[in-house]
Amino acid sequence: MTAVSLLPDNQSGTDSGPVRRRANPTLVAGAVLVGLVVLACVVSFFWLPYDPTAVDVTIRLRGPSGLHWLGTDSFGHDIASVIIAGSRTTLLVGVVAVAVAAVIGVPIGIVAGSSGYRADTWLMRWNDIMQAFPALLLAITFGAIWGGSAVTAMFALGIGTAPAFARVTRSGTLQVMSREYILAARASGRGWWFTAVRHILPNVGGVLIVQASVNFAVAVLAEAALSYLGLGTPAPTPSWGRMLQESQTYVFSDPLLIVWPGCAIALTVLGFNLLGDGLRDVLDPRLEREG
Amino acid sequence: MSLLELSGLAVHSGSRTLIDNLDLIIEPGERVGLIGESGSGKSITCLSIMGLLPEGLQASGSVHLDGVDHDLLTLPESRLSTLRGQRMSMIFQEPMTALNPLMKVGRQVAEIMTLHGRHKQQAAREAVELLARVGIPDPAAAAEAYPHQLSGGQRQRVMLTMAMANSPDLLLADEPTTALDVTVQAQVLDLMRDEVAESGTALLFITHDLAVVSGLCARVLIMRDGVLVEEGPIDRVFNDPRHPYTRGLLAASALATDPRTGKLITVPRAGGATDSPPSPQRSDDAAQRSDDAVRRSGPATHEVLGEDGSTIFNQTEDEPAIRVRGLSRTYHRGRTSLFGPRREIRGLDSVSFDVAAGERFGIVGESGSGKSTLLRLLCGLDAPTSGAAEVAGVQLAGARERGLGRLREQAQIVFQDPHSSLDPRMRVREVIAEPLRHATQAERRTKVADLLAAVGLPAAAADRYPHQFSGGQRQRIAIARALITEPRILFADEAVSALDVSVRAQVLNLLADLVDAYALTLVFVSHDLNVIRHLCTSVAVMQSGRIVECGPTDQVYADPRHPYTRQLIGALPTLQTSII
Repeated sequence: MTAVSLLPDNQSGTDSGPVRRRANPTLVAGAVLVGLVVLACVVSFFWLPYDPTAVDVTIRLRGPSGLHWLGTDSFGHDIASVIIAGSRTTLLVGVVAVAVAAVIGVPIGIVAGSSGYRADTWLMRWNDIMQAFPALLLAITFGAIWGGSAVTAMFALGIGTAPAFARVTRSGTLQVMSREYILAARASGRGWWFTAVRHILPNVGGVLIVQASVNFAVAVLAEAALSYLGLGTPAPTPSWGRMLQESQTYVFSDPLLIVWPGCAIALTVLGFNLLGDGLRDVLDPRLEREG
Repeated sequence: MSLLELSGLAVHSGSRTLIDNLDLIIEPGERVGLIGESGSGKSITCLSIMGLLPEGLQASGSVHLDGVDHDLLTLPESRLSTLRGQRMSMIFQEPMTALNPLMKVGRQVAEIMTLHGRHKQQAAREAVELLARVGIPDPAAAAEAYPHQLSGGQRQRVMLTMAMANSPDLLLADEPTTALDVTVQAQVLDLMRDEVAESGTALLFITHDLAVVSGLCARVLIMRDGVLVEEGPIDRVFNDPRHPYTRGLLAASALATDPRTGKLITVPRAGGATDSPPSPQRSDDAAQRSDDAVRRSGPATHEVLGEDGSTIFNQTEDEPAIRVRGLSRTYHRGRTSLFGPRREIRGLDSVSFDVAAGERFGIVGESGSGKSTLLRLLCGLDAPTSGAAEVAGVQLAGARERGLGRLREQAQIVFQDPHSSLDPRMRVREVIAEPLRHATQAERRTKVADLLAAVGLPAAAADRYPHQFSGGQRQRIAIARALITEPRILFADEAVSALDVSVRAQVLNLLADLVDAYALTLVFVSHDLNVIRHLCTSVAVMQSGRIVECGPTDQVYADPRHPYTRQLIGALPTLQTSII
C-alpha cells in the first residue's frame, strides 16, 4: 500500500474503538445538572453569601428576599448558603462511595470473568449474597457500631454498592474474554496481569463509567436519607439531608424550607442518572445506531 | 414486460455515496448474479429493492416491480409489507440470526403463509410438506424443532422454504451459502436452483464468490464501490472480461499466479497504484536454513487413516518442528437432564503426525472437524485431554503456563478475524510490540518499524488505532505482531477467510514471502481447499476430530484416496473461466 487509505472501515463490526458523534441531548442535560453541582461546590470554597453555620435567631424563618435569596431556616441560617455549601458533602460522599465500590467491585468482576468457571461461581455467589443485603441497611448498621458520620456513611455505601460494580465488570469482562485479542495476548506469552490491565480494563471502561455515574446518584440519595435519619453528616457541617430533617417540624408552616433541599437532591440525582444514560448511549457499542 | 426495473438508483449516507446511478433489469424467471466485494454496495442494492434500507440512508431513482403501479422506493410501508414474502422474498447470510430462536421452525414457515391469507391448519400442514421438499430428514419432527436444534445447512434450507413458501416472483439471496461448509453449500445451491426453476421465480444472487455463481446464474453483474463496472452473460464475462477489475477479480478468485514472479495476481486498485508491498529480502542465513530443511525432510508420504486409527502421518526422520502423538481433546457439554451424565464431545480424537522444520503444512476440514481445536492445543492455548505434543522442543501435555515461555517465543499465531484479534483500545504500535516482553522502548520502536515495513504498511500506521484500517491491513498488523519475536513456527487459523478475494491474494503473497524470508515452519488451517493448495506443500484432511488423509498437496488433490477427501474436492464450486 503505497498510499494507505485510513478511512473508517466499512466492514467493521460491533466494536470499532472510539466513535465520535453528535451531542446526545440526555448526555447534555445530565452534564449541565452535574456541572451546576460541581460549580456550586467549587464556588463554596471561595465565596458564600453568608456563613452557612452562623446562627442568628433574630432572622429565623424569613421568606425569600433580596437579602436572603431562598430565605432563612429555623436557626437563622441563610438557606442559599447552606445549599451551596451542602454540595461539598454530597459530592464528597458520592466520590468516595463510588471509589470504594469500584476499588472493591472491579477487581472482583475481572477475576470472576477471566479466571474460569470455579472462581467465577464462588465469587459471584458471594457477590449475590452481598447484593441481597441493602446498602442503606448496611450503612445504618455501621452507623450504630461506629457512630453516624459522613465517613461511615461513605464507606458503608461504597461496600454496599460494590456488588453491582462486580456484576457489571464481570459481564463486560466475559465479553472481552471471547475476543481473539485475548488469545493473541496469551499466545504472545502475556500473563494474567497484563491482560487484565491492558486489555480488559480499557475495554470495560465504558460500562464502568456508566455504572459509576448511576451509582453516584444512588449514593447521593442514600447520603440524604442517612443524614435525615441522623446517621450521616453531623451538625454543623451543611448537608442537604439534614436540612430536610431540621425543617420537618415546619412542613406546614414553611413548606419552602423542605422544597429547597428537596429540589437540590432531586436535581442532582436526576443529573447523574441522565449523565449515566447519556454515557451509555454514547459508549455502549451494543446500542449503536446508524445516522 | 420485465419483472424488476431499477433505473438511476442512488443511495447516500449523508455525503457519502454508497450506490451511484445503478440500472438493472430482471426478466421473469431470470437468474442473475450480483458480484462484489465488501463495501461494493451489493447488499444495499438488495435492501433498497425490498424497501428495508436502514434509517439514515437516502435512496433516489426508481424501482419498479411488474404489476405494481407505484415506485417501490416511495411506496408506503403498509403496501410494501404485502409485497414482501408474497411477490418478493429474501434469504440472508446467517440463518441462525435470521430465524427467531424462540419459535418452532414449522410455525415460522406457516406464519409466512398465514400472513398472506392462508388458513392456519392448512398452513401448518403445508409447512411440513415444504420442509420435506427441501430435503430435511423427518420433516414432521423438524417442524417441531427450534432453530438451534438444526444444523447450519438445515437452517438455510428452512430459510429457503420460508422464502419460497408463497412462490414469489423474485427471490433475493444475500450471500446465502457463505456461512456454510463446502459440501453443504453444494447441496443448498442445487436445491435453490431446483426450487427457483420449478416455481419460475427470478433470482438475484448476491455474493463475493465468483465460483458459486458459475453453475447457478445466466447473467452476472460486477459491482465495485457502488458502481456497476461490468455486466453480461456469464460465459462472456468470465471468459472475456472487459473491465480490468473483473479480470483482476477473476484471477484473484481462481488464485491464479503470475508466471513471471510465481506470485498471486492481485486486483488493481482504483487509484492505479500497485498494492503489493516490496517483498522482504530473504537473508542468506534464513535461505540456507529453509533450503536445508526442505532437503532434509525429503518428500512426504501420502497416507490414509488405517483401520485401527493409529496412523502416524507425515513422519520425518529428523527431529521435526512439531511432533504430535495420540493427541485428544474431549469437551464436556451441559447435562440434558438434571441427573443424567454430562455429555462428552470428542473435539480431537487421537491424532498423530509430524511437521518437518521449514514445511508448509496445511490442515483442511469443515466446521466441527477439530482443526481449530488442534491448532489451539499446538499453541498452548488449550490443554489436551490425553496424548503428547511437542512444538519447537517444548512438551505441551501437562505443561503449566510458566513452562510455555519458550513456546511463546518460538510459535506464534494469526487468527481468522482481524476485527476481533486486535484490541480496539490499543495503538498499532502497542499491538505489534505486545509479544516483546523484555525489550527497551528503543528496541520496540525499531522492531515495530521494521515489521511494519515488512508487512507493507507505512511507519505512520504505528500511532493509529486498529479501527482506522481495512480488514486486509488489520490482518497485516496481526501478522506483524506474530513475527516480532522472530518465531520459528507460525500458526494461521483461517487467516484469510474473513478477507475479500482481492485482499486475500495480497495477504497470501505476503505470507508466502514472509515464510521464505524468516525461514518459518507454517501450519495453515483453513476450510478453503484452494487456498491450502496454493500455499502449502503438505496437507492433512480432517473429519470429526481425526486426520483421515495426509500427504503432499499435489498428490492429495490429484489422487484423493479417502472417500471424505473425494467428497470435499468434488463439492468445490469451480470457476469456469479461460482467462488464466
